[in-house]
Amino acid sequence: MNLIGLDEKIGHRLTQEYGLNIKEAVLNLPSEILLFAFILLSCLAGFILGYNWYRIFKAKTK
Amino acid sequence: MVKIISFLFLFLFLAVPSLYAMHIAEGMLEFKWSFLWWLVATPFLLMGLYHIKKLKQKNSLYLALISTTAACVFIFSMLPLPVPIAGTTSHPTAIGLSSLLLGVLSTAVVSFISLFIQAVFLGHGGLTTLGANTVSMGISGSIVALFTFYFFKKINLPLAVRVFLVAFLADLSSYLVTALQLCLSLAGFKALPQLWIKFFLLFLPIQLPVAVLEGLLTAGIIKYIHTHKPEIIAHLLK
Repeated sequence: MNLIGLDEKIGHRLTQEYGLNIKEAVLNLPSEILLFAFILLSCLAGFILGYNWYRIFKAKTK
Repeated sequence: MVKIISFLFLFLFLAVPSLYAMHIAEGMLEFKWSFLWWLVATPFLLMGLYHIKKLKQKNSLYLALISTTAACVFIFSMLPLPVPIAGTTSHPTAIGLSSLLLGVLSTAVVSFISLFIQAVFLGHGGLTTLGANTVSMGISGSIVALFTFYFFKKINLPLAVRVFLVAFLADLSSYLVTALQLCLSLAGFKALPQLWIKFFLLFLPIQLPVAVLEGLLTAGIIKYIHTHKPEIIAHLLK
């Protein structure tokens, strides 16, 4: 399945329609690095979420 | 139930195997507009940092709360939810949740940090458009969220319904402002209202089911907090 993100889909369509040339990203990392960062940061965010959820809801009630 | 939900999320990620750009991408706005949106976002961010510093000293659990909310905003705003009929993906924002728990100023900071990490490491959004994305997602979304919450409080709607409407409208308002930003950059003030509505209507049908989902999820989270730790949302219950 190859789905494009909403913002990109509409944004690209409109910018092409109005003749604006989309510039290259300032930082353009290869897709493998992006996938690695995506997984790593998702895990990190999950850990932060879980740990602080525990601190808020469980730690003090024990 | 948890197993089924976990499986569905796993399926979504496996079925959608590559990364999808979200938010306004690099170069989609003209430089002058990118700069202007940075100018709009900066005072909110500075006040937000001061606000967080002040509250952190008062409440020992505030840092835990802000970390949890920041992680939620980060995860939600990069979650590519497929909208099958439209053949595209969209993402929730978690701005309704963040605004209710932290307020407008802290939400601006939290969303800025999430968007910054996404722009640098994940290719979602961009550094020049970071100001615009912070204004559309973090600032306008949270202002609409709080305004909605107190408006519906006056007409005595139950908490869960209010929270649903807050998250739903905050999500949609982010796209309303995104449409305005694209409209101003691409066409200027020429035919602004018509084009703004036209651009927003392109986003609306795809974002609507995601906004409903986000509303339900936020209502569930606030309900959980209300049951288990009501002091966190004491300011909303007054």
